[in-house]
This record gives sequence, structure tokens and C-alpha cells, in this order.
Amino acid sequence: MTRSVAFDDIREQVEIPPLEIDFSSQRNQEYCEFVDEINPLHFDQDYARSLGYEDIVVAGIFTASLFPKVITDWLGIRAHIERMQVKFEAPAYLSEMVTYKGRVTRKSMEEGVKRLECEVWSENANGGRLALAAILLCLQDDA
Amino acid sequence: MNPDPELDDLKRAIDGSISRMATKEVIVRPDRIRSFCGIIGETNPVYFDRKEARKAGFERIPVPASYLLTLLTPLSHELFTTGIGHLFGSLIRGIVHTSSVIEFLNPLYCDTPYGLKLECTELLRKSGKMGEYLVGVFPHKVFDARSRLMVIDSHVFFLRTA
Repeated sequence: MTRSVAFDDIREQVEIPPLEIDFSSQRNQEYCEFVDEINPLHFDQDYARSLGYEDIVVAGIFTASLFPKVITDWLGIRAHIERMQVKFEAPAYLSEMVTYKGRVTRKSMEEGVKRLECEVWSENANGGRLALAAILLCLQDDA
Repeated sequence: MNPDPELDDLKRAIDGSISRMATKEVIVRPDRIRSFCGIIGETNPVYFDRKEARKAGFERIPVPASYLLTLLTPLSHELFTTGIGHLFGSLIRGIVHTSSVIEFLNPLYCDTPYGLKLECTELLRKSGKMGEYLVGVFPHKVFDARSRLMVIDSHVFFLRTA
């Protein structure tokens, strides 16, 4: 759901509305089929355990795909992401409910270009951080 | 620096594989975006409806930023299967994607041809709580038909050694 937030109303440190995603077995299977996943870490429990993981690990590219959505759900399509740096800190396991949270760390306007720097992270149900993303975006003129 | 034949072998194998990989030509079709959006729960009509896309100022249906990582997946899949797949079990035990830096230089659109190209710019040996591993930096690049760079996605992979 896209909300309408004016650039002038955004303050540094403001929190971005959270996004919850259930990385259910079905969702993971759909994604693995969609990308013709080849890494058994993302669909073979025995293999994942042989590498020391508790369970099947949801692919990083899949979990990271939700970071831009956190931004566009909040600001809409007028938010153009220019750069996103993602660091995976802990595995997201199959069937985990993951919450994406974030805040604005910097707001600027230079030569008429409205920019926001945001820190967005994902957490499991225990509050353990799974990944951290630093996102730089610009907003269209009418924002 | 101590000699590291294992690292050297892997570096040679990766460089050789990448040099043999042709630029992959792709055209993202709207139905592919629709399927992807269904999986991640994206409901913005800009990604499904040409009229809504035009209304939002896009000439065609835009490729969502969320899709970029997925778009580039076939490159690393090819490297890790037909490229260096034969090294699994002997030299490599597993692969873990640890970080990415993505620069969105220009917007991408559906029904538009793009070229995807993989590189390996760094391969180092490290050790940590998960044991001994090699760290590789793999920039994935997207070009348009005029060879204009559209997106760079630099993946860092840990390659667990056998």
C-alpha cells in the first residue's frame, strides 16, 4: 500500500512503516522455481544442515528484494533508488516471519534534487537482525 | 605472501569461466514481473498496467528495483554450474552470499533488450567462525542496446572450501 508522504514532512530519524513477510515454504518454493534455484542451501534441508545451518536458508537475493519495497510502499513510485548496500548478517530460515524496519538517516536538497538516505534492516521474530541495507534515493520534483 | 595453490586454481577457473561466458541478452516480459510481484506481495499497478505506468510518467512498464537482484541471478548460476560446478566437492563445499552493493544508474523497462555481464574483481582467502573460506567480489552489470551501463550489482560471495 503506497502512502502519500511529502518531502517537506519527512524528518531525519523518522521511522519508515514496517513491512512483514512470511518466508513460508510455499513462498520460498515459488521463488526457487521462479529463478531456477541451483544452490541446495535454499531448498535442501539436509544440505543446509551439513553446512552448519539450522534449516533451509532463504536466498539473500530473495530477502534483499524486499528492501526496495519497504521504500516504495512508503513513498511510492516517485522514489527512485540510486544505491543500495546490503549486508547479510544472519540467515533468514524457511518459515520465518521477517519484519523489515527502517529510518531516515539523512535528508538533503542540492540543486533541486531531493534525496533521502535510509537505513533499513530485517529482523526475525526474536528481534535478531538478519540484514542491513543502506539506501540512497531521490524523490521526483512533485514530491 | 604464502603460496596458495588452491586459491590460484580457483581464480584461474573463475577467470576462465567468466571469459567464456557471453553477454546474456534478456528482455524482461510483463508477465515475468507480474509473477515476481505476486511472490513478493507487490501490488502497485504501475508494474502491471501500461496505462498506470504512463500515468506515473513511465514510457513503458518499469522493472521494479526489487527485481534487479533476481534479474542478475542467471549470471552467478551459470558461473556456479557450468562454469566452476565441477569444483564442488573437491575445491568448494558451499557458497554463501554475504553482501551486495547495487547502483541503479538508469531505470529499466519491460519489453526492452538488455545485456547482462559478469566479472570477478577480487578473490581472497579468509577464515572466521564459519571456518576457512574464499571471498570473491562479483560485479554483475546491465547494459542497454547502446552499451550504456544501467545497473551494477557487486555481489560478495563466501566460497566455503572443501
